[in-house]
Amino acid sequence: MRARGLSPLLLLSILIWGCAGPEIRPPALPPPAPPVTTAPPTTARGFPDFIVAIVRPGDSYSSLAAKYLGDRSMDWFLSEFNGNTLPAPGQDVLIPLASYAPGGLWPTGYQTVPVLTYHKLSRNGIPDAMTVREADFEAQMRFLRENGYRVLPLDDLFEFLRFRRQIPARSVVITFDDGWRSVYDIAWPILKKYGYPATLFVYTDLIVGSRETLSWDQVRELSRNGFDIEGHSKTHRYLGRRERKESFRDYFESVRKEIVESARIILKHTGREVKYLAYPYGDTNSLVAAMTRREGYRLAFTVERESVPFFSNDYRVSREMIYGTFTLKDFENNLTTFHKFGSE
Amino acid sequence: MIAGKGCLVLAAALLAGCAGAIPVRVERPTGNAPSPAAEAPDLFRGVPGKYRELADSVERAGDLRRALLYRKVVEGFAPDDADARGQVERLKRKIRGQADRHYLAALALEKNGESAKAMREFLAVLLLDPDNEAALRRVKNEGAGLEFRFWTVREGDTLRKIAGEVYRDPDKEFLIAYFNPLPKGSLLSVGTGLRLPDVDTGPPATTEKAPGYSHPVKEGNGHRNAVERKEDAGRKLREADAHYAAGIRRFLAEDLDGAIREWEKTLSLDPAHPKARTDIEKARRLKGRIESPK
Repeated sequence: MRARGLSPLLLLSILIWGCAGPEIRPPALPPPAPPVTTAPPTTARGFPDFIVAIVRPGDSYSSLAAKYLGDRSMDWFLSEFNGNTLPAPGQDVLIPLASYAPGGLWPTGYQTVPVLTYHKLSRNGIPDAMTVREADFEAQMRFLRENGYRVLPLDDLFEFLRFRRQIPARSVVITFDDGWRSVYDIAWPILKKYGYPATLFVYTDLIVGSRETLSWDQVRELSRNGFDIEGHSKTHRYLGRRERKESFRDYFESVRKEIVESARIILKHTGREVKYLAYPYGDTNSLVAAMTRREGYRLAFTVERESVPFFSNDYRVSREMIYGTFTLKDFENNLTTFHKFGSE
Repeated sequence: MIAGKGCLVLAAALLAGCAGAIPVRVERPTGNAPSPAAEAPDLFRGVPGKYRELADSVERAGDLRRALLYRKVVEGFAPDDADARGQVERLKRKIRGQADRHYLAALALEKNGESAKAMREFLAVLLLDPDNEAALRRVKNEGAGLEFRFWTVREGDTLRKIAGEVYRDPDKEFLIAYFNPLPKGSLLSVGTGLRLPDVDTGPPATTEKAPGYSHPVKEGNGHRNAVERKEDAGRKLREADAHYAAGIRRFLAEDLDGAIREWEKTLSLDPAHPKARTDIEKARRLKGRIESPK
């Protein structure tokens, strides 16, 4: 799904073109055809930084991405470079072999990635801020599909923030907070239908398995099926605020326990390391951010309403809460994917 | 993700060996080897002209990296064309020159406290030269982030003494130990760099309370916020540069202690400063030689 500016495979590819093996043999070749007397036309030429290919009938960006980049889902990488319409058969198309816009940085502005945050869902009923109705959620996911958005896992966002990988121009990340049962019952089937990955930030004390909350069996099942399970503390306390009667030392130990213990519990139940933290209430401060870094988290998230450029602070990455009271237009307003220079 | 079939294709290419010159033929004919006399139609005949025009056009529009890729296409299809090769080299020099100019402009703006404009210039550097680590470090605020300050251990320092000086609370020595894993019971050695977290446990500045749920949400303000958040880090970097320059002046005036003090201040504000740490070491070595001549 993503372009890797310096990814091992692209480097390998560049190396190959650079050392110029005269002929690439596809892994599966059809049986030999009858002898021919003229050479078939060469339809692609490779160089260290690019390939120029001649479009043939039936080609699409997906087929070209599969053939030359080894990944059909990299079609966006070609279409965003060459324009949405594939040239006609017989015309050439340029296939870059490295990121041409790392970090989504362009002469006219820079890419931003909306990281959407949900909590609970409901089948019916009156929506409130934290509860999105099933029909509304489905409409939002459909909106993403119909408008060319690509939903990425958090690992891709992490690489984007490193300024080393290019991701589709209209990228979005979907996250859920806390660990409510409705994520399993309602959101998962819809996400599955669209093939969207998502991240579930759980606060581990909530995972008790009730009518309202997830059980660890359900969390494991989600983990095995496209959900990334990450940390949201143990008890959901405000991490950025010291309680009135709390000594500084007690506060420090409490915060440390929240971010270390929750990761240990998630690892124990899912067998997967926790890499990302969503601060409960989006609440943090300099010390907590520094502790989060110290404890090995790669990124930590607030709930500041703005989409994310590559130069975001890794321990204060913004997310946008999607309220149950949002109209589809409100939802769309949270999908900013580009910031034009001069629009400040 | 590039995987699976791509790996096979690439592995097959490797197995095919490294011989011959580019360009290479990507597809293998499905029949027997063609007769040497037979000539395939050249489907690429129009490529150099097309990409020369495109390169001219996007270069005029200021998209120099894309222009460079197009010029490389021209060069690739006309390897003996000295002009095509010259255009690639010319454009590379132009890109390097512009990147350097933007970087210097960014530093000057930063020094004047114009962080937002400096940020724009650093982004211009990265647009031209994505491998420019110095510019990336500036826009990401790495090393000069808001979370840490830096302390260089001096003669007589203990964690308790440092905590007392920095936090006005010697009992916060545990914080220094937590962020700077040191061998148990070991003495701090002079010159060791320590990372000290900022201790700020106040409430967030602004919150939006979502109705029906005690879940405060900060409302962003586009990327102005992202830029504004860097103001404090930008101020630190400017101060770090000023202290570094003062250290140089003291060093030239043979005031080694003064130079070391200034460079320690530089590091406390910008722990990843490219020169301060090595200059401190040099000054200390020089000082040692002066004070204990053999």
